[in-house]
Amino acid sequence: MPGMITNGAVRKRKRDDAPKMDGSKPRKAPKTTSTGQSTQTRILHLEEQILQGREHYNNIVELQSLVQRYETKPRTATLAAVGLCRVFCRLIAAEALVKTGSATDEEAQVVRWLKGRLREYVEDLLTWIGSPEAAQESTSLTLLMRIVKAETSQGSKRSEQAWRTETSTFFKLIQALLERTDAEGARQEFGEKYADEYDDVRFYTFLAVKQVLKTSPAHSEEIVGGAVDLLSHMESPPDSDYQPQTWYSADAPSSAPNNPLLSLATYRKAAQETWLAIFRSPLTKDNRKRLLTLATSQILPNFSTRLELLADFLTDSFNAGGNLSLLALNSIFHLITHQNLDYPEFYTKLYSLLDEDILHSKHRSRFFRLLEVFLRSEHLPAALVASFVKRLARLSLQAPPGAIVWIVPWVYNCVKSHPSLGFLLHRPHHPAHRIYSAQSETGSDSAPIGLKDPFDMLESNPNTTGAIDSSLWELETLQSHYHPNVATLAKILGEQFTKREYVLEDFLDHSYASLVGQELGMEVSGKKGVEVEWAIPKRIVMEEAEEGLELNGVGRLLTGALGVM
Amino acid sequence: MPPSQLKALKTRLREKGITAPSKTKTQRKSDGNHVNPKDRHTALQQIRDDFNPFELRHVSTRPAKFPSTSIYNSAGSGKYAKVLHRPGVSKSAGEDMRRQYLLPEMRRRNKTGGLVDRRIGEGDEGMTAEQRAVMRFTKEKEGRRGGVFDLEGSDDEGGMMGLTHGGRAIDELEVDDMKGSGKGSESEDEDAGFLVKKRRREDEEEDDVEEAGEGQPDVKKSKKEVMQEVIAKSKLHKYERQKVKEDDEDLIDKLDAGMADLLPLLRSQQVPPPPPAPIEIQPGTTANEAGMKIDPERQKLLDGMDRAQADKDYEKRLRELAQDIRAKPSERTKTAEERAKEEAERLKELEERRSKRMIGEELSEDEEEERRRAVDDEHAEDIAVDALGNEEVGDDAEEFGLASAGVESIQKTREEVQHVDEDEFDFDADLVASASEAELSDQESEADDMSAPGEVTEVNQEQDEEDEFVKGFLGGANATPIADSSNNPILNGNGALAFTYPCPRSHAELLSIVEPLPVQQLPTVIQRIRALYHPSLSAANKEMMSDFSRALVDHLAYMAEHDQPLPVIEQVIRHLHSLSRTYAIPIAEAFRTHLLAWHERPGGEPSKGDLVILTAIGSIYPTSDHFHQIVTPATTLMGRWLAVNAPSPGAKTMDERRSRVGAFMVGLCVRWQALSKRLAPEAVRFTLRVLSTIAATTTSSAEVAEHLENLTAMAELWKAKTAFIDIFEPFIPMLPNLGSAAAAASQHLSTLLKSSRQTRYPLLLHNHRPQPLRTSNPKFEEGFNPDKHYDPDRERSDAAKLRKEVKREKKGAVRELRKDGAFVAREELREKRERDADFVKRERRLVAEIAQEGRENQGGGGGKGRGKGRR
Repeated sequence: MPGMITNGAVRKRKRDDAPKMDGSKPRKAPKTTSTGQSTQTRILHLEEQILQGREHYNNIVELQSLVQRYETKPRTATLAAVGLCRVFCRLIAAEALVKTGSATDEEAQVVRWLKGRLREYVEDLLTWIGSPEAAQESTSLTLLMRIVKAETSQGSKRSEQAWRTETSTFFKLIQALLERTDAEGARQEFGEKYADEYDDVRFYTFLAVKQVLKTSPAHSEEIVGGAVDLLSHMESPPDSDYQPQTWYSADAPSSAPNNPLLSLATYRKAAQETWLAIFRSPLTKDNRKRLLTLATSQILPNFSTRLELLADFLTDSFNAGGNLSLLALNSIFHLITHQNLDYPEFYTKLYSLLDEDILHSKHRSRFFRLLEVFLRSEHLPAALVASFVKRLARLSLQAPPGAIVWIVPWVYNCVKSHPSLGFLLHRPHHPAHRIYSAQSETGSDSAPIGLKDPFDMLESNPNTTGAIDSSLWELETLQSHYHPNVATLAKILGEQFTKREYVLEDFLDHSYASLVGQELGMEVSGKKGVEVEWAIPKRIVMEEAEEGLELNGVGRLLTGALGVM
Repeated sequence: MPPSQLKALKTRLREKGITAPSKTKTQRKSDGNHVNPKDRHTALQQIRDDFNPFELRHVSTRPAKFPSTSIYNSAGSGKYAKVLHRPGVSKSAGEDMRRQYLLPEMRRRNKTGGLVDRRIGEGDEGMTAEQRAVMRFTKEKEGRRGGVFDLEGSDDEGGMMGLTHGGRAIDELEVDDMKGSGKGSESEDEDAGFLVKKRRREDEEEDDVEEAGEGQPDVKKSKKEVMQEVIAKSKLHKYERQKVKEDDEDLIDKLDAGMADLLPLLRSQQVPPPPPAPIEIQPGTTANEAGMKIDPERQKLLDGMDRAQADKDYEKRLRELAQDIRAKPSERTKTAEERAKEEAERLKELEERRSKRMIGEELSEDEEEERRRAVDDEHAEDIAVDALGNEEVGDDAEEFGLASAGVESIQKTREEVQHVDEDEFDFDADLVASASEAELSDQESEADDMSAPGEVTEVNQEQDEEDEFVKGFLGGANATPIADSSNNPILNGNGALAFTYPCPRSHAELLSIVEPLPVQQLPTVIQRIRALYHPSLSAANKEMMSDFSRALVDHLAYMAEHDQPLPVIEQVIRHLHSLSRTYAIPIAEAFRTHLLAWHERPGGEPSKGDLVILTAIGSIYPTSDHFHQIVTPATTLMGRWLAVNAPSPGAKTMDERRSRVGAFMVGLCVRWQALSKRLAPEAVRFTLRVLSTIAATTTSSAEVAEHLENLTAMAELWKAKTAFIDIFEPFIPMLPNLGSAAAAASQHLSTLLKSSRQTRYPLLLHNHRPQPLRTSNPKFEEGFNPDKHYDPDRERSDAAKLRKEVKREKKGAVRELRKDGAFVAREELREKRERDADFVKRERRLVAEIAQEGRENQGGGGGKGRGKGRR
């Protein structure tokens, strides 16, 4: 084939002066792009030429140079990139990038050259990912995935390679997605458009992420953050009747039983290993928080076999204290109830979370919501529930109204579901009872001796705090809370328990802002009027002393406060 | 064989004493108990009934109820009491009625037009031609008697001139129409129902009237009496006409007299109150004075009004007179003791009201009603929830006044400021407190802001106290109107302070007046402004003063920002307090505006002005109320600040600013709860945290003293609470570290703790009566009556009642129609028979005639023929 040879020669020559052409481009470019129309037609023309035959392969270089100048001419660059993508897709489909056994040296050279151009092109596109411009990012992602599609659609063996090898476009794409911290838009798009849609993409994404985490030079936190972010955008994993149907690569994997893509176990294994890789890598607090929020919905279903590993992670988080333990709680409880996890002393740990800061915390309502779920069961021992009730009551003595407003109806519900807790509110004297008999032994008969509170605030085991023998004096005291609504609510504990239960969701989201805003938002009604103190005091901040006027208590405090403001 | 009917009748008559064997004259005279005609009548009726057993039916046809089902309405008792039905009588009455009304109608059927003879007596079978003629003649005569010159032309005497329709008087017609609807339905069946019952009642009434008529001797009046009556009546009418005229004139006079009062009002000037109106002369007395006129009541009495009625009227009058306002002695000057007692009573009442508010009871009735309604609604909602088995219908939190997230979100969107969450609050020490010079919009202040329920004594008291603030100015001001003086302040002789100012209606205006003056003069200026624009001087002053009060609230904050001396601030607060008795709502709004500004300020940090505002609120408003429009949000805001600013447990240094401001707020909280002793958890927490921080570090003793003072006050305040131990025990371990200053507090606290420990016993909150199970319909009724409806649903039972009535009426109507039909058929048959009989008669006669004729012809002819033949 003479043509071939000449082509090869041309190819060679062209390749040699390719760098020169790169250099010469800037000169030409202004001329060609003087009008957008002409540039567009020119790009189309170049593209057509490439497809016509090998002698025009050098146009690729020209187009690539256009692509690289995105900063100055974004439209042209985009057009060129799209054109190149089309070119490469066709070339790949025509197997122009495959070295066949019977190929001559020149052919092999051409293939190598083309592969180099492709790699270059992919690199260019990858730089676009993570750019602040959403359109550019989205374009590059789309084009790259187009290439991936072309690459993975050439026979099962080669497509397998295109998915898995570290030099493949797909792998590079995932790596870029993970490494760029500001590629959130691209990650989300990738998750929604590809990973959620196509089963094979999802599967290989897991593999690639694991690979990236393993190979990345520094186990940097950014990569982990990117990985968590990417995976969080992916849909929840398939359930037991997993039937992969949508494929991204054109040639669907054969329905052979040993095909890894088709079995759920393989999928889960891949996902599980990826997650474990993430767990093992260093986690920032934020990443940990994100993981914990994902744990129940995204991660947990994948862990069918090695639950204990996940449990370890959760336990670590739980032990970290603070908000992390709060977040870990939910997943642990889920594991206990659904996966039959044996988690010793769950309630003890839960009990230990109850400290005075939790009632003032930002996550108060979240914690309350969980607490209600954990303690809802009627099969829990009453002594345990009593400990929680008593402890919360004790804490409520220093709590904001928003917390008290939840605690009171919750206690009501607890008493309703555990009737023996009724003794916390009403304990008629019975000489045979333990607390009284102990009293009579020690105390003398003459002096009135009050009951010592059997509840031990310092005891960490909720089963042995002695709360069940105590009384809820704290909540009785809160019936005279300064806020009228809170006081009225606290009174329900002293009334007959006629209501079946209170819907606690209604009491969760109250804060100072809502209480004050609610009151100040209303108009002063003219009908009711405003009560005014009837006596006008002679002195408010001053008081008469021997030598003239003098500040009284309020006045001293006020001047003190005004002095430092 | 029973004795014959006749014999039986005779014996019965004799037994009853109606027919007695003829007596001698003496016998008859000696026989005092002459048989009353009425008794005689009833006796006769009874005998008649006895002899006609089928004319009567004793009991109702309704089957007897078992006494077990109903003790009330068994047969012959209660609703179904024994009623003697006379089916025969009612039937014949019905028949008569139909004959009277239905028959003519039937005869006129299918006939259009025609003349109806309405002449007197026409169509009346019971009259002979002569009687008719006589009747007509007398009517004619009567009609003519009322002539043109008759004095009483328009009186009832000329009744024959009344309106007629169809030749009959109108009233007559109405009666006819009413009766025409079914007089004949005196039915034998009690199912005949409602209308029938009504009719029966009417009949009874008529009977009553008749009886009354019978009771009086029906004596014909003589002509003289009639004339007297006529004269009396005419006089009465004349008097009444005059009376009406007089009344009108009186009214006009009264209005004219009132005009004098009205005119100055129109000219918007106040004049001394008019002299007391002359005592109104009773119409009765005038009549007496006039002498000629007779009291109408007396006249009526003279005319023969019912004696009993007259007495009743008299009693009524007497009672009215007794209730008339008599002359009262003028108010006596009270002795000192009396005044003290009154004052004590007033204070007691105020204290009662206060404690009621503290408990949270509603004060006035209408509010209570409102609340009850709300409770009812809630109850209804409860039921609905139970019925559905669905708990998520209503918002549980709503019941306790905790608005759901919806309200909150609205609130949130309204606020531009994003509220920093409580734990992540970062403390901005450099926050520059800016003068809050929020201009209040010139809102229309309502005139009816005398909101405090106005007892007279209280108003008096207010007046007294107000005098203190405006004294010395009002007296002089009253005499000379100075409100219209020029707007420029008129300077005093020494040029320091003016006596008059334009009323400042906004804070800016107030500032322009006050700024050049020394601060100490401010109370005097306020005093003068209040005197100048006292609402008693002009109607417009009220509005001006309400704006001024708002400006004063703003100025209060302004003064604090500019570090003006506290004694002056105190005086301004007192002025505001006194002003807020009259302008409660504008001042309250101004305070709330300041609170809202604080609430919405980023970080929720109070300014100096806010601290003074808080002080003022605590002084002006009753802080012990269960709920108060200003105190409650203010307390909540303080609680929020304390909660957010409590130092964290591990804090090493104590911010002095936080400590001092917090000490002030805790102190304020404690003082506000002095009476109601409510718990403020945030104050406890703040003090605890601050003291523990101080114990860990070392700070100035002044601060420690403040907090220790607060701690002691709190302990004293809440020593009766059952959770006292739990609240204050955490303080004990840290107090020894605070040095000697804390020793006293520690001692005090441990004493209180000890006594509290001795008196603490398990709670007994649920000493309730056991609640009965909820009973629902159908429930057990104590004396169940099957005829009564126990449906608790009022609407449903009413509907059932109505349905039943309709059914009964329908049945009655159908029965009547059926009877009418039967009557018509019967009549038609009768007529047909008559016609037939007539026909037959005529036919017979004709036949007989023809036969006669034939016979005659035959006889004659035959005779002739025979004769001829014989011949």
